[in-house]
Amino acid sequence: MDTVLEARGLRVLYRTKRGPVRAVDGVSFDVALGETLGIVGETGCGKSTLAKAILGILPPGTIIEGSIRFEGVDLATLGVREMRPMRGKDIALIFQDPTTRLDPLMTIEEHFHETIRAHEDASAKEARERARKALASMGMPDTRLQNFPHELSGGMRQRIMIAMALVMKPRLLVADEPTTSLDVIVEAQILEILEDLKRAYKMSLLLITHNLGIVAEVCDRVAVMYAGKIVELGTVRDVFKRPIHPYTRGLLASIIHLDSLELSSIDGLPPDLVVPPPACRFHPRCPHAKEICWTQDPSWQEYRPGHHAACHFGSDFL
Amino acid sequence: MEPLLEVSELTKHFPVKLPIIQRLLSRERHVVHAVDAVSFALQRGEIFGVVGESGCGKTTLGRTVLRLQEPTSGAIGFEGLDITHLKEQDMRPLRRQMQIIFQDPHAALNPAMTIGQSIMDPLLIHGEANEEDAKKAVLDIMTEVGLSPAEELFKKYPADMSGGQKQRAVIARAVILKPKLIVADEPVAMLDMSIRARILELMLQLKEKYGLTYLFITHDLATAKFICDRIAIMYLGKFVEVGDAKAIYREPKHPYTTALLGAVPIPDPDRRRFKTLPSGEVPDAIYPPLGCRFHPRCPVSTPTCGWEARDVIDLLELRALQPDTAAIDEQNFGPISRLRAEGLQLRIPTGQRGIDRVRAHVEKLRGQAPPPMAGAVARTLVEGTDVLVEFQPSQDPGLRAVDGREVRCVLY
Repeated sequence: MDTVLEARGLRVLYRTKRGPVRAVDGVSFDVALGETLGIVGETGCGKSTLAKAILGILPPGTIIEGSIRFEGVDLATLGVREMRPMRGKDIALIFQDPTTRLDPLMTIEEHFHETIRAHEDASAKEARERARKALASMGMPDTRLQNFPHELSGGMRQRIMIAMALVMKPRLLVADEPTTSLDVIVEAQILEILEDLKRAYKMSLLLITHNLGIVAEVCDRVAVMYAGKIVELGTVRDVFKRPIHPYTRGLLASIIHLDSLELSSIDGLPPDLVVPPPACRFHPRCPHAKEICWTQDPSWQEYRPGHHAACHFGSDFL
Repeated sequence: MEPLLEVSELTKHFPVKLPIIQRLLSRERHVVHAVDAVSFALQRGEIFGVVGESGCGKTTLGRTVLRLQEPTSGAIGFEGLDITHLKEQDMRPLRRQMQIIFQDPHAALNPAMTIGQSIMDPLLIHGEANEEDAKKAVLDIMTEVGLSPAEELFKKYPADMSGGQKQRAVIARAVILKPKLIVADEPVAMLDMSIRARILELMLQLKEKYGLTYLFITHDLATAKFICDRIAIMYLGKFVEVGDAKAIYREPKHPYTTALLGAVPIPDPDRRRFKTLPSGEVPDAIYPPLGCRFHPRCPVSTPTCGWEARDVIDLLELRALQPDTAAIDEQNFGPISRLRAEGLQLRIPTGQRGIDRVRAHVEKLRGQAPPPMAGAVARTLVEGTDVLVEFQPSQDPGLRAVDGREVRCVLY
C-alpha cells in the first residue's frame, strides 16, 4: 500500500526555563493512502505537538529530530518558504476550536478566497464557485458565505473549517480534536461528514483525539501515546479488543460509556516531561511494573501482524 | 418527607442587547429563553442529573437555583423556606448549606492563593473557626479528598498541581462547610479520562459520609448514567423527559433523549453503526420554535407538533442546496430572503410572477415537504399581492406522566 506519511524517530523538544521538554520523544508510524490513523492520548502526551510538527507550525526555536516524510519529502528539514505552499494544499489541518481560527472581521467568503488564492491564481468568481460547492458538500446554503463567524453556531463554524481545509483537496488531513468543543449530536454529524468526504476525496486522515469512542467509530488503526512516546499501535480492533500495553488497558477500562458497569481509573499522576521517569515512562503508574521497567527501555515489538507495543511484559498480556 | 430543594416554574430570561435602531423598530423585548418554567424537587441524599447540550440552559438553571443569578419568575424553596426573593444578607447564612463545584478547576482557584488558603477561605468567611482550627480542618479534608501529603500540598499553588488535584481541591472547598446541597456543574468534563472515575468515586464517598445531595449538571450521558439516581433531559430551556435514570437509559421515551443516546460514540469497534441523527442544530434560544421545541429536528414528528412559517424557510434553504430544486423554488418564489415568516404565517410576495403561479408552487411544495409539516398547513390565502401560507396553531405538549416518568411529547 502507498504510504502518505512516514515518521521515523521523531523528536520534538520545546525549550523552557526548566530545561527542554521532550513533548514528542522518538515516535515512528506510517499513514497509508486513504487510511484513518487515530492518535489517542491524554493531556500533555504530545499528540497536538505531533500535529504541529507535521504542519510545520511549531514555535520558533523548537528542536526537531528524526524525520517526517510526506510522499517522500522530509517535512522536518523544510524551511518556512518550502513548507508554505504545501500547507493547506497538500496537508490541511482542522483545529479543535473553530472560533479562534476564523477571523472575526472577515466574512466566510473572504476566508475561502484567502485560502484558495494563497495557493493558486483563481479569479474571484471561480473562488466563489468553489466555496459554494464546498459549503454545499457540508449541507450549508451559500447564503452563509456573506456571514461573519460570530453569526454562526459552533457546529457550522466547524463545518466551515472542514470545508476550507478540503477546498484545496489535500491528500492528508490532520484533525486535532475536531469535535471536542461540540455537542454529541453535532459531533456525530461532523464525524459522518468527515468519513463521507474521506471516501469521496481518497484522502488520508490523521485524527488526534482523547476520545476513544470516536477512535472506535472512525479509525482504521490507532496509536496510543503516553508521555511523548507511542506505547501501542495496531488496528482499532486489535487495540480495543486485545490491548497489550498496561496503559492502553487502563485507559480503555477508565472510559465511562453507556455500558460501563464499574468505574476504573489509572493511579498516580501524569509525568513531568522535563524530567521524565527513566526507562518505561509508565512504570510509576503501572500495576505490573518490576525492576526491569525502570532500568531498561522496553523494545518496540510486534506481537501480532501489525500490532506493536513497547512493554517488557507484553507477551504476558496477549 | 419534605424535599431539600423544590423548584417550581423557574424561569430565567436574559435580555438581548440590540443595536439602538433595531431596539426602536422592534416592539417586543427580545430575551434569551435560558430556563423556561422548570419544576423539580430534590430529595435528601439524592443525585439528580440535568443533562443537555450546550446552550440548553442547564448551567443557568444550576446558578439560578443557588441565587447566583436572579430568577425572572418562579419559586425556589430550600428546606421549606422560600428563598426566591431573599435579600443577600439573609441569603448569606444559607450559602454555607449550598455550594457549587465548577467545571474548570483552573479558573475556580485563585492563582495567588495556596491550595490550603483556598480551601480554608470559606471557613474564615463564614466565621466558622479561628485560623488554627481552620487549618486543622483543611488538612483533614485534604487528606479525605486524596490530597496527601496534605501538609506539603497545603503550601502549593494551583499552577503546580495537575487538573485532577485541582478539582479535588475545589471539591474539598465545597464540602468543608458541610453543606446540604452541592450543585456540580460538569465536575469531570475538563479532566482526563483516566482520572474521571476517581473524582466521581470521591463525590459518591463524600455524599455517603456527609449526607450530601447533588444537582449534577452534565452534557455527558454516560457520566450521568453512572452517578445519577434520577435525571432530567433538558432541551432549549425546558425539561423534555424526567425520571429514574436507569429506566430512561433502558428505554428513552422522548425522541430527543433517543437521539442523544444514539449519538454517543461507543468505544467498541464491533459496534460501529449507522446513526439516525436529528437534522440541523439546536435553534436560537431567543426565538425558540413554537409547540414542541424539538419539532424541527424530530425524526418522528406529527402535524400537531408546532409547525410554523420558519420551518418552511428552513426547508427552502435545504432545497437550495440541490441545483434542480433551488432553480424551481427561485423561479416561482423569488429569492428566499424576500419571504417573511411571521409566526404561523408565511408571506410570499408574488411580484411579477403572478398569484396563481406562486399558489401552484405552494401546492407542489406541500406534496414534496415532509408529511408532518405539510399536514400542519391550515390554509393558503391571498392578501393584496402576497400569498399567505398559514399553519394550524399548536401548543407546547407539556410534561405528561408516562410509566412513572414525565415526557414532553405529543406521542404520549
